[in-house]
Amino acid sequence: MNEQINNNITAYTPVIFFILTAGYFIWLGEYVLFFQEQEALFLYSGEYLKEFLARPGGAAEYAGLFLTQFYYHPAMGAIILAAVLTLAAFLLLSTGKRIGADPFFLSVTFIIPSCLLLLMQTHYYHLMVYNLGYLAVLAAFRLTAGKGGKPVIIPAALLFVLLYYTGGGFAWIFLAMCVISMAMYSKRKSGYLQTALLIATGGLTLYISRYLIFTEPTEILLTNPLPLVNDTRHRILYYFLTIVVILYPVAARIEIKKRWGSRFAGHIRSLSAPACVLAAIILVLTLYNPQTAKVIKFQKLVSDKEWDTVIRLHESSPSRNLIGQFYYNLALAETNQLSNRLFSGKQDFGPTSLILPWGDVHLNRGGLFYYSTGLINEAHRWAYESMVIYGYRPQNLILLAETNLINGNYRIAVKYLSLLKQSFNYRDIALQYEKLLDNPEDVMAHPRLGEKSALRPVLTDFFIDTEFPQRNIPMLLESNPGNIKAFEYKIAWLLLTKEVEEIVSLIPRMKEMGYTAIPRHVEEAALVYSNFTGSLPDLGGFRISDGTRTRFGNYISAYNTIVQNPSADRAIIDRFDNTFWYYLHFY
Amino acid sequence: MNRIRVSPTETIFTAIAFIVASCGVTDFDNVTVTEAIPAISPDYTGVTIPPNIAPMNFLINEEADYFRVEVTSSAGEKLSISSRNGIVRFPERKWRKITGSSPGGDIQLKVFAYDREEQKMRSFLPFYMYIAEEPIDPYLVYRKIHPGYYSWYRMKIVQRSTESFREESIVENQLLDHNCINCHSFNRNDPETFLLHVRGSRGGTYFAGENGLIKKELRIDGMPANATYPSWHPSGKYVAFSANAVRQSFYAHSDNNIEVFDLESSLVLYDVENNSISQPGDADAVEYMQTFPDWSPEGGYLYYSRTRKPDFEIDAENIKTIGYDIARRPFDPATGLFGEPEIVFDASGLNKSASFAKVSPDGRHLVFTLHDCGTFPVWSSEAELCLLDLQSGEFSKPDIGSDDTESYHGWSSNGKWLVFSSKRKDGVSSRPYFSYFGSLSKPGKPFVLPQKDPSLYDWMLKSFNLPELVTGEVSIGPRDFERASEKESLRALPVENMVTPAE
Repeated sequence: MNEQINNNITAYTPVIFFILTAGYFIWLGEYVLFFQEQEALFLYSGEYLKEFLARPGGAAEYAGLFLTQFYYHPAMGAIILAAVLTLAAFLLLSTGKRIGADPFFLSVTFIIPSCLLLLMQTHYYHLMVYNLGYLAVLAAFRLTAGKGGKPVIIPAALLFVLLYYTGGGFAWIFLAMCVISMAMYSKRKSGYLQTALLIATGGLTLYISRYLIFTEPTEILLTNPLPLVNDTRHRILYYFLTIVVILYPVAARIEIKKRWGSRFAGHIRSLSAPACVLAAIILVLTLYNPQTAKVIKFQKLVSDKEWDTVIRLHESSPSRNLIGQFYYNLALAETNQLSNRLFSGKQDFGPTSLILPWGDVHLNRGGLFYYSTGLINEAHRWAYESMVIYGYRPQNLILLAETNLINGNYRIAVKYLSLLKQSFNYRDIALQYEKLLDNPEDVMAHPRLGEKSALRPVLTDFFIDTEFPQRNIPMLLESNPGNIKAFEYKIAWLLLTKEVEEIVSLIPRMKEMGYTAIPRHVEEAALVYSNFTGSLPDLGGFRISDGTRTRFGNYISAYNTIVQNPSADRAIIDRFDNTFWYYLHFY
Repeated sequence: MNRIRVSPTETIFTAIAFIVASCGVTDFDNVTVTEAIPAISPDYTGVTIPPNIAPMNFLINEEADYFRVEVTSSAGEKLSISSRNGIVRFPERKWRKITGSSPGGDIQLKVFAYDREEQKMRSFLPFYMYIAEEPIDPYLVYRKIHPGYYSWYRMKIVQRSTESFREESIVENQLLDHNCINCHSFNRNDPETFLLHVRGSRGGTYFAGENGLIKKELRIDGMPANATYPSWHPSGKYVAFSANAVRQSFYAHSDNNIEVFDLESSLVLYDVENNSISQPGDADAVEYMQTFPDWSPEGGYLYYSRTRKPDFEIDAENIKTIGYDIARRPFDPATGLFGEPEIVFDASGLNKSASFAKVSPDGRHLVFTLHDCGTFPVWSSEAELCLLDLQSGEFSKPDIGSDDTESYHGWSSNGKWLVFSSKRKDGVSSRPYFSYFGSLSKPGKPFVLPQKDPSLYDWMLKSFNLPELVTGEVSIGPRDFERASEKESLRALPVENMVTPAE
């Protein structure tokens, strides 16, 4: 009876693991799926496949990217990911039974690799290919393992070569498993010879790859695509998992039950695997980083152009990250609210979060500032450089297609659209944009492309200043004086750099720019100016609203209280943290 | 469209061909002749090709379910190809037989198209490819890169057989820490003697020659920048470089893209045998920026582009005032000394700029790129190739251009073929085109390097940068560069003076 219960628990543990894992990635870890789906674009084309087949491990990368494309739909992605992670447990069970593992040991430990992979998967750079790599190693060992635990030499050698080509560096883990198992279970001279032969196969494979077939650096030939994520915790988990996998066949044959005695063995056996899953889930929840999740969620919302949601989320639960605040400012710019609402969200980074500096780190998103303001050539450049360095990604290809359509470069736009058409998730976008090819009127009539097109420089040309990107704003305004987004960015830059005089000097231009009232933060700057100089600036026919005047009075009073009594409750001033005045004094 | 009954023999022949190709299509009564040649890409209609060129595969851009192409050479050799998708790929051996049989003649290509639904067959007017007598050099070397801007990740310099579709790497940058590799240059099309630059951590100029592959550090004190654009002296004893401090700027306006210009540039002479480098300190070097050197075939002159050094900071407007002329200086290979410069082509007088001067192997002509302003025509859509008769001074624009950029170019070793970069396909990616220069007054219609997949140029984003024809296969490969890069650079030594006051 107890044995039956134990078996049931063993059988249900992977199911529980699958459900919890899928649930986590549907509700909490969705950002990991979105991030990875955006990191590469899987194309259904022979040329795309050819690139992967030209290096060891490329086939595994290709398979990983194939599955990753389904992350586009979080539920589907979560189910696929959970299934892949769970499969590791079944492979281990099957291998254990094949090699005659101690049943006690097997039922206690079979879920461990899946749990370790789940922990690793919480890192957003832990790619599907890493999971597939370990699955391939376990599957290869299952296929080569003899009943006594010792791998059969010919299949092992052949599978090593195949695994090296398809799974790259993962083949070394497989080789290590085989070599250790062989060394442990070989009792005769021939066994040692076979072990040596297997090692020689590894060396020869590397030599042939290095000198005759591939033109990759030795380091890549050895390690690609092992999970060498630049994160200490992830690295520790990787080493731990690799050791567990390598030693598993040997450890599985140690008869632990006898040593532990039979009295507690049943309980340990029935509870260990579920406890392991439970511990993994608790750890996963502990490792959850809401700030990282938030930034990636913002990225998704920006890519979906859900500007109002970005604004709402940042204002209700601020991102303390530069990129998060950049997305907030971008959302304000896209909705023409920079001068009205800039300080309604946190601005911890000053003007840096308005325009990201040039460099690899921000290549994927920095161009959005230029696109927003109508500097289409420069937005194109950022997208292009991103494509050159990181390869095809949905966002860089879409931006490349859009910018080329706006600029009328249809012959090149069609190339990017044809790439998008080869994908599963972005084909519809490509088909939609394809209708605009050779149709400048339709491009102008398109709600987004038309708007961006109208913002472009018109009157004068200039070189983009890449070192001091803010200098492009006045040059753009000179070339297209009606560019409201550039004007808003100019105000925002001046607000964040606290250039009060320059801010108020813009007020007389506002009527011709289409403003119906002075934006809130500009009013606040005008009152600061008035406070310093004793007179209001030229308001260009506008007036300062009564509400702002009242708030300013209240702010001055609160500020004086705080200055005169530093021990006073900060709340009286912190309630003004959505004003330029607060930013001016406390940032 | 006229419907014309074709001859019974032709109908029967075509019908048999289509039966084979179209699995059961048997009714060919409804045959029409379209009074036009078919639309094909790449455009290989009416082109002049060398007898040893790889199969000129193409794509038929016509609506049909099946196609048949009948090829007949002027020597009577025949070849027929059927295709369901319009892609026409010629078997290499048969193609060679066709082209090899008719040097100085032509081949006729006739396309038939069948519409299954309407059970209708069309035949188009034939088009021709003219076969020159002179072969082209068997290899083309170029760099494969994404065209533009600052960044790169992977790039490689490859050699492609012009006689087949085989392509092999000479150097790949992932073996060199992903550093930039550029400016490959061969001595008179010789595959054994060449150089190229590697930048960054594996930086140096890599010289291939009798002594194998050697990494050298050519920059010496006083040079404004690294040695950049090279030209081998025909003796192999010298290499002239321009040392360019290059700046890239990006236009904001949609009509333009990138401007690459020099902040400083001057010519230097590298003595290969003595591993020494010398810089002119004369008025020409002081007053002018000099770039893009090219030796005359006998080595008696060095041609180059030059412009007076601007006394202003270059911006998007005033760069339009910078025009480079083509100048030359006499050179004495025995002493390694230069004479006084003279203007060969006054481009700035035309409010234009001239780059990439390349003297023909017979020394009679010079091909250069003419563009509106500045020093780097690769991103100038108006850039076009021009021809200068060095004896008469007559200047002409050969009819090989397009509305898009034509820029870098080079001669074949026999001087009959010009290879040049053109962006005519999409305005962005450069492709290698060849033109026959059997007659300078009427060069052959250019054709793009044929590919196994004729649609390659329709989807490929990368450029074929700096196409150079060479007379044989380059025997040095990527691992050779990797090994050479791990060694210490051989540092060039400075030489005091290289200028004579007068010729």
